[in-house]
Amino acid sequence: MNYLEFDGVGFGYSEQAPILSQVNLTIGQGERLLILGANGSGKSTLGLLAAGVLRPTRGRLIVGECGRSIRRGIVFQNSRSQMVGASVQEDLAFGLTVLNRPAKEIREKVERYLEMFGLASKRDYGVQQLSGGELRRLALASVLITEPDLIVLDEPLAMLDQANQDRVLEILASLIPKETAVIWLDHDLRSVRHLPTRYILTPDGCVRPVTLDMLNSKEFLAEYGLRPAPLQALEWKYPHLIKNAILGPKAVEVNSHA
Amino acid sequence: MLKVDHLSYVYNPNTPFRTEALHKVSFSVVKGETVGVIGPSGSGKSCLFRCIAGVLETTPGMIVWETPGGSEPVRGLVIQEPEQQFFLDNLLDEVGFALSGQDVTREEREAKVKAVLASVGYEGSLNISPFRLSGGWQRRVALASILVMEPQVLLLDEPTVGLDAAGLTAVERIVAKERAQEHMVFISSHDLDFLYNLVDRFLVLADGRLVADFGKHDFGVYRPLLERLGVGIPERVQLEERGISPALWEDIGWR
Repeated sequence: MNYLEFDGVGFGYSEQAPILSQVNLTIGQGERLLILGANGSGKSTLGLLAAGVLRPTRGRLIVGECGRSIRRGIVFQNSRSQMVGASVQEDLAFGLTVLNRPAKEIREKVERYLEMFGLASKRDYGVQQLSGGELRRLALASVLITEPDLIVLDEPLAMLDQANQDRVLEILASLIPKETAVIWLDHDLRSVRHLPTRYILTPDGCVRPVTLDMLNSKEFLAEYGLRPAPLQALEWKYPHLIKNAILGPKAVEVNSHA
Repeated sequence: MLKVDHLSYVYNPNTPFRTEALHKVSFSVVKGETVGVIGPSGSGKSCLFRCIAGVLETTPGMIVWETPGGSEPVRGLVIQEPEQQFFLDNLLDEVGFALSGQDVTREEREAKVKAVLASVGYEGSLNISPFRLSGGWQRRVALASILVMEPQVLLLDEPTVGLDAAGLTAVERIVAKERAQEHMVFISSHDLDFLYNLVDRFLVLADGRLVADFGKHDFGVYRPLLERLGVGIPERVQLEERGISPALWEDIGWR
């Protein structure tokens, strides 16, 4: 079923300067979408609309289908700014408290999520005492604990070292239920490695699907203000030598010099 | 030259949350060097930057500047999440704030602010609020508000987060300019490919200790340590290990 349908959605803080002009996009149960775009292209705005934090200033955003509404969550680019609890466990409990769940259920669930996300030893820590990796995991846990149908992730791997990136990817792969829809926003092309369906925000405030071939084109990336993945420049110069650089060293086919 | 000698720093001393963020860290850096600081989250990178910048007070003798006149150099620190430091409602005042105590006219101040914003790629109005900019643009404006002081030592803590191609290129240009002026630059980043291209040398921190200090071309040598720490290695180093000659990088303009 469809969870969200953007039907000609536009948004701007003022009439003269719309950030998004005409977004058409549908996301259904279990779908995982990547939305790429340069700084100021409207990625975060799109995420806030999808999460229900902002309302469109034009067009229609249809939420749910057949009278069934959906629950939505968002993990901000800067996880620190979404912390509401003084301690780790208070932050984790907040969403369920707002949803009016019984105290016993909240206690049990918080306990379970502390374990699942590797935060049990930090339960009494103040959120300001967490490292970047722990903070990101807490933000993910605090959203996922409410069992959203749709979750928006704004640059979920930013500011994390390799080990923490691996950990977050593992969480996304194993701890997000199959039916949950995911919208991942990023400007880093390395994110295409993790999602099968990819879109890009155009300079005129629309959304269009992109293929790996398009993302492999130097001209295309320049037009959209995106930086090539680390090895792409090499691939463009020596296409016979390496292939699939966008998908990273694990996927790169390296041919011999001879 | 900067000499860091047995630098230790403890957060929240005498409380249950006491954390020794740095433990007996020693190294020296000469002017003109660009140093990458890497290590897992919580290894003490930001604390080291704050100590060098003088934001955190250290025991005398732990951080020594050996400069011709004997004075401490002007240091500029761009913190992680720099947009959290905004407090004025237009770009002219926000970016020009560091100049307010100085002997500059209004016109000079505005010209400086414009020039420094142009260096990060911003050419728009000075009249808009920094709070109305997108995340990536806020990063660039925060960087400009430090550059306006013309620091001789620049410390960039995770400067790449939220920056697109144009933003990253602006940061690269700024670092190249600092290098040309023989300024000292420290950069921490989890984006190792970005970092590798900019720096001469890496310092590796783990649990507040300096565990490695090496020239960047020795990255492969330290692979076991860096993987154990969860830092990872740049993609280009991984490719070098698979037989792609480093000579090819120069061909595409990488350092």
